[in-house]
Amino acid sequence: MKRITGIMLACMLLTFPALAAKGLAFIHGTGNQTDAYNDYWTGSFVNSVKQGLPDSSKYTVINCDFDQYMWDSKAAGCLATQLTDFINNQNITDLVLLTHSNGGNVVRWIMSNPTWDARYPNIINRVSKTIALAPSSLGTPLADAVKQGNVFESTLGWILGYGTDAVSQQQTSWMAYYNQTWLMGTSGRPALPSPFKAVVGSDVDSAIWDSDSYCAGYQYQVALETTQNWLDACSDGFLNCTSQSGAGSVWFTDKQRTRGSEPLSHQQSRRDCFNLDVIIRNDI
Amino acid sequence: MNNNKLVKKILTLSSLSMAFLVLSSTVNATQLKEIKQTPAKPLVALDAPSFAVEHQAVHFSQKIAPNSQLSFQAQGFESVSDEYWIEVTGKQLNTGVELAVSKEGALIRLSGKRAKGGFNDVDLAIDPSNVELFKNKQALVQPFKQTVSQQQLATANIFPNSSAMQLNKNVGKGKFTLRVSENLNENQHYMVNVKEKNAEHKLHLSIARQTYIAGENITFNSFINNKIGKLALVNNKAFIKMPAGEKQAVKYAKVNGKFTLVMPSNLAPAKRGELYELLIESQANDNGIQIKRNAKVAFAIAQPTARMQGKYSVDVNAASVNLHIASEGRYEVSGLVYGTAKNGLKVPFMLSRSAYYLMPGEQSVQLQFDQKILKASGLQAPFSVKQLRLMDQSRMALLQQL
Repeated sequence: MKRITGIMLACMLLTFPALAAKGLAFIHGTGNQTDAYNDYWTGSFVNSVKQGLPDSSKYTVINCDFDQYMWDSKAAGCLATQLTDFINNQNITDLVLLTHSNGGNVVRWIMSNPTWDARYPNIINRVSKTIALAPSSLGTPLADAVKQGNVFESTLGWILGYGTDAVSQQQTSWMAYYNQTWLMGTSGRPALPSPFKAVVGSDVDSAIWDSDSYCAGYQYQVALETTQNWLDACSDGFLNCTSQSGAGSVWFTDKQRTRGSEPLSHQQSRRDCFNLDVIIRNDI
Repeated sequence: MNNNKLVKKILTLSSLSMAFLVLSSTVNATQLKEIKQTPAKPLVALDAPSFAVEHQAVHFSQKIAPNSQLSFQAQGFESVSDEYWIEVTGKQLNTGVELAVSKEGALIRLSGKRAKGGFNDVDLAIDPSNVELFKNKQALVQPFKQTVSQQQLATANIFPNSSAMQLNKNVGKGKFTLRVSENLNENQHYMVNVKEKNAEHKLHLSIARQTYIAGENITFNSFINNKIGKLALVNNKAFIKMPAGEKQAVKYAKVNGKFTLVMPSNLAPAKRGELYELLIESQANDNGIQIKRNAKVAFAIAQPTARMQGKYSVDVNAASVNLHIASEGRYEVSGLVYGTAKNGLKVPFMLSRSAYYLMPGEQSVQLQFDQKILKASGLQAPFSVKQLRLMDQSRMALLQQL
């Protein structure tokens, strides 16, 4: 009987080598990444979160140029290449995407425009859910502020120093256009083909006496508190809560689930701060 | 067989035939619909895309919840501003720049600009400890509640060549002069941004939609209000900002309380997906306080490269749509597919999309339906399609929506 069962199991594995192989992709935000594992996420976050997989080796960390517009071949095109390679090489049948910030928009581009690229449907059909950490779904007034006055007289060509295409794209009225014309998942638009669950950062804790301010670096916190001048009372220092909640559904707002009900600033929502890594791990 | 029996048999057969015909027409019912044309703009023949574009036909359908409250109609956007910005030179900052502040505790941000092609963040930033503020020609002692250096702002990776100062509330509002004591390059350009968070006075700028076909005029509305209502504007200038950054002043006319501007015909073309912006610079006075506000909204201008025309037919497998293609490229036809429930009601159940790379000329394309979703819906023929849309994927343009 044992022998028969063994043969049956072997046959099943041979017949279905890719039986429900679950994979996880870490998808960074704005920026041109070449080593997102170390520079964007840090190993401690990645290695903690991936423990939630049945086989923790089935993960990939995406490195693309998300300084470009989301539809660019270096952005969504690069993401499609790396996800397709991951799916094919690891026989992934159930793909969970973990995005941060503008990475959520690049993913929404692929999920919303299945006919744009012949590789997109195969990716869309495998994605079971997207966990979107602080997604910039409705853009941010900070992008507008960066671009303020970013005009030049053609003879002189004066231009502000920081303003990639990704920053242009994340201006609030630009994102409103893209959301209503090219993207799905926002209010009144068709739902995305699979769940898009947002984790919302609602505040920036920058008290010098509070050790929690130092998770992910205190110097970031001071700057984020400053930028909050352009933002609503509910924000993570970079994005308003309304933007983070603007597409898909809200999985949770930081204080509802984090250790000590600590808020997650925009820097902290991609790091192992306040048990965030464990919360995500347990959901995968 | 007598005549009665023969007649009965013929009747039975014809009844069966009728039933078959009815059944088959139910399964393969073809619905024909006319595509209503609004006064059509002449189509334009543009060059084929110079970048890589998908050439393979791709079809994709997704299930839609029958109770979905979907709206595909173009929507407007309203920008609400409590700030303004001006461009000045290093020489002006060293001499003193007048600023209108209408709310206590305003934030002032100084950003160095660079000539296109050059880049040196640190040299451009102004040290906030070298910024002085004057009121009625008197230098203010400790005018700032908080100052933020270029290095501190750069850690947020958002304002790398900027510094900021928040005014102490006790310095009040009104006219101030801001002066920088460090020697600046007199020809260097800077942006001065006065942000008055949660100010009573706000500039509202709205447009009815964000997608236009080339040649259409834009209607917008703009006003500054206080707690009581709208203020009379003493100045209201409009500009179009090109995607590459050039700013062009535009004229507008007020009709029925709204402004209409004629789009300049010489607008610089946008790169794929990039948007133009309508910029408004407004000024008003309220009880002796000068209010200055800037606002902007983005919009797309589509070149009419193709259109749906004639009649489209719908059966159980697909909708056949006739296209007139003027510019080579990749086009997507999409639509919300409806089936018929047992009670006769039309129910939306699927969003279908098909894209093709097409050459100029008359084309007929199939908007294919996913048969698994269709069967799982339990809905019957006749099927129909609403919210039929034509997109030019090569140039990222919404061309037509029925």
